[in-house]
Amino acid sequence: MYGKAPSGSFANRPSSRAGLGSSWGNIRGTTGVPPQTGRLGARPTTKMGLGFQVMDRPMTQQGLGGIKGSNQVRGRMIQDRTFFMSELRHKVSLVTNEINKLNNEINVIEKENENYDAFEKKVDQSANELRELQGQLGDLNTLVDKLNVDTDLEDIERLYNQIKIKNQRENNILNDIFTQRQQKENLIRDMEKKIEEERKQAEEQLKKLDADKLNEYYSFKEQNAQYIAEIQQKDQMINELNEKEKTLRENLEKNQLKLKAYENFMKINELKEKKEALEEDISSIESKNGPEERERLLQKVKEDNVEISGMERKITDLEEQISKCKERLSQLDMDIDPHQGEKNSKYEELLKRDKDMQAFIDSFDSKKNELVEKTNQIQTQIAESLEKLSSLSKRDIPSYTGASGLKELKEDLQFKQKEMKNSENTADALIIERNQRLQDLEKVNQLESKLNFELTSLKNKIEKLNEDMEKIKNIDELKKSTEEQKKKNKADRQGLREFRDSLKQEVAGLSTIYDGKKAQLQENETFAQLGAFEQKLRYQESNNFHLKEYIQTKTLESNYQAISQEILQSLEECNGQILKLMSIPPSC
Amino acid sequence: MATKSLTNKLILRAKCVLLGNPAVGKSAITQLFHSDGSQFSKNYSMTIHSEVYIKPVNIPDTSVTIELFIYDLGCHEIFQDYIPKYIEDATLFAFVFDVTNNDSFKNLTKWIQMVRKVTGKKVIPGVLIGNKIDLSLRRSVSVQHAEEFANSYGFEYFETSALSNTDIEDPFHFLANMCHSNYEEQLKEFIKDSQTLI
Ligand SMILES: Nc1nc2c(ncn2[C@@H]2O[C@H](COP(=O)(O)OP(=O)(O)O)[C@@H](O)[C@H]2O)c(=O)[nH]1
Ligand SMILES: [Mg+2]
Repeated sequence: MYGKAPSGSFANRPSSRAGLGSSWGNIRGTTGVPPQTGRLGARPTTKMGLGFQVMDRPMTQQGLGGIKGSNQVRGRMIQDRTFFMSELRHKVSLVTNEINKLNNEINVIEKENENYDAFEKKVDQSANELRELQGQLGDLNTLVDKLNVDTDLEDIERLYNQIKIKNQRENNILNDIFTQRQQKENLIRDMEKKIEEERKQAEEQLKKLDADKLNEYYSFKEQNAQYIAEIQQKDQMINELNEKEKTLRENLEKNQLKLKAYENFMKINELKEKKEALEEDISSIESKNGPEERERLLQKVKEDNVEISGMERKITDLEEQISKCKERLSQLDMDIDPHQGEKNSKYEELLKRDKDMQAFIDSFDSKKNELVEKTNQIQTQIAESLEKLSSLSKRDIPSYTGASGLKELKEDLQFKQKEMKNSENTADALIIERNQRLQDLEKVNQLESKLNFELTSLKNKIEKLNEDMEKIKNIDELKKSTEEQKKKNKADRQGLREFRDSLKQEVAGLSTIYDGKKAQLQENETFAQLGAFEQKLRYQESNNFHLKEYIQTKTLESNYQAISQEILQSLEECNGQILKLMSIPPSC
Repeated sequence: MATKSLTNKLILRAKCVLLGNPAVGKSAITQLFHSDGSQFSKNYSMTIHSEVYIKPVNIPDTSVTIELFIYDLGCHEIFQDYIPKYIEDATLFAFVFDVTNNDSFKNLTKWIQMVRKVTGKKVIPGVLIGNKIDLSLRRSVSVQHAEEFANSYGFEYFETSALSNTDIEDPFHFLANMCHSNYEEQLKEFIKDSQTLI
């Protein structure tokens, strides 16, 4: 209740300890220093004369002198043949361990490389996924942007409407395309009908012809059908080959070396085509101009063949180069261990390249053979057909025009079909886009509900704040209440002050009584006597204590048992060691 | 017991009594703690009746200061009759013994019994202090022994040396913390009671 510093009133009291030896005890106060505890070492240490210090004792050094020489002798003894052998063995085992470790590492790396293909596939998948997700992210980002910019719902709806209209327009276009397609189909049907009619007319005309010519005509017709079938087959083949080429080219584009090989291959093909053309020339010219020209062309063909063989040689060179690369790869494989961290990626790249090359090389020969065979077949076929044609042309029979017409129609059909496919594709794309738009709309709707919820919460907040404002508006009341509180506090303070004053008075009264009593006591004779006795007792006790201490320390000091035992033990040890040393005969 | 000063600093006051055989180092410990480690006398001066020291101890992480009123009693036989009066209204106790003196250790039970008899409590809020650990050669009471003894009475055990000023403050800080936590508990109970009354 006083709130006084700890020094307090106790400190002001006369301390009675030094002077008179009051029997009621002394009370000391602190000087108000904050209790910073933990000041170690501020006090001077009093370590004098306590116990005894072993370090100062005289040591007998002579007894231990003999050990030094023998240590040297032992050192020499150990390094004999067996010692070096064991060292060697130890090192050898270390080396074998290291080799095993390296082998293990190599195995691990090989496994990792095997896994690489699988990882690549996974990478492709992940890339696709990533693309999709990025698209979604873009959508969401635009949404968020719109939210951030606080575009109204109306704006979004307007946009939505625009997109809807666009969609409709595109739908219309699609419908137009559909109708066009139908028209085209109708046209095609008409054409087919016309063809049928023409055929019928032709048949009628044929019926008018006599039997010999009819037979001839039929045979020619059969031949024509055969040729058409052949042409179709070849078209199909060409398509297949084109696709194959495409895939192969895609493969090739990944790799430069392969590209070179591909270029060379292309050159070969070109040359072969040239050769084909020349052979065609030959066959055509042969039919017209006879064997001279033919020989000349054949020579050209031979030259071309020489060129082809040169190309093939080049190819073998490239293959050699590839094998060299492989060798280098294996070398790198071996070198890789020390610089694993740096060269691992390089090594992997090379290995991958090597694999690709290997696959290409493996398949290259078979593919090449296939293609060469096919080209040869085609060549022979063409030659045959040309021969036939030339023989036919010699007979001066008018060529059949119906086939070319059909061909044109067919091409037309193909073209139309392609177009139709395109329009179908665009229709699909449009449907997909429409679905996306619908999804967007759904998202927007969801967002709207969220925004509504937020709006209500904000309204609630506003209400709360308004209530608080009401409270604050009643400043007068608040002021009144604080005023009242203040008054009350003041009254309390006054009361407490009075209480304190009265307590002070009481304390003063009590202290005067205490002083009076003390004075009375001081005058008392028996008190003085008691004090004197107490002092005497204190003196006696002090003497007593110090004597006891003295006795204790002295008895401890004179207690030599432990030290003597220790010394005896060490002496025995020393002796034992000396004996051991003596028993070992010098080695050299 | 509690005072709130103007700076919002709470001062709690507690009476702490040191008991133990004469010459075990009660006065040495008390004086050393009170003077922050600057006063130590090699000479033995028997304590007559009692000495009182006031030492404020701050409780860390709080604005509370415990003012310890440390009563260093003279425990010589001729003052035995007065000791109960000092014990009566004490809240904290420190029992001190000399680790080189088996008698002072054995006599601890007598002092504890006296406190129990006077306060009427079975559980005494206090600590056990083994002093003079610098005299390791003369040591006759083992740490384990003393710890077991302290645990059986629910005391925390501390080892100190007034001569080398080692760990003198620890037992007093422990007592101050004990006083503070007791106060907090009582305050909580009081608040609970007053709430249930309403
Ligand atoms: N070696 C040593 N002596 C101490 C230690 N503490 C106190 N003393 C000595 O023991 C004697 C008794 O000390 P005191 O505090 O008066 O004992 P009390 O009767 O219990 O108050 C004094 O001479 C001190 O110097 C201590 O930790 N080590
Ligand atoms: Mg004392």
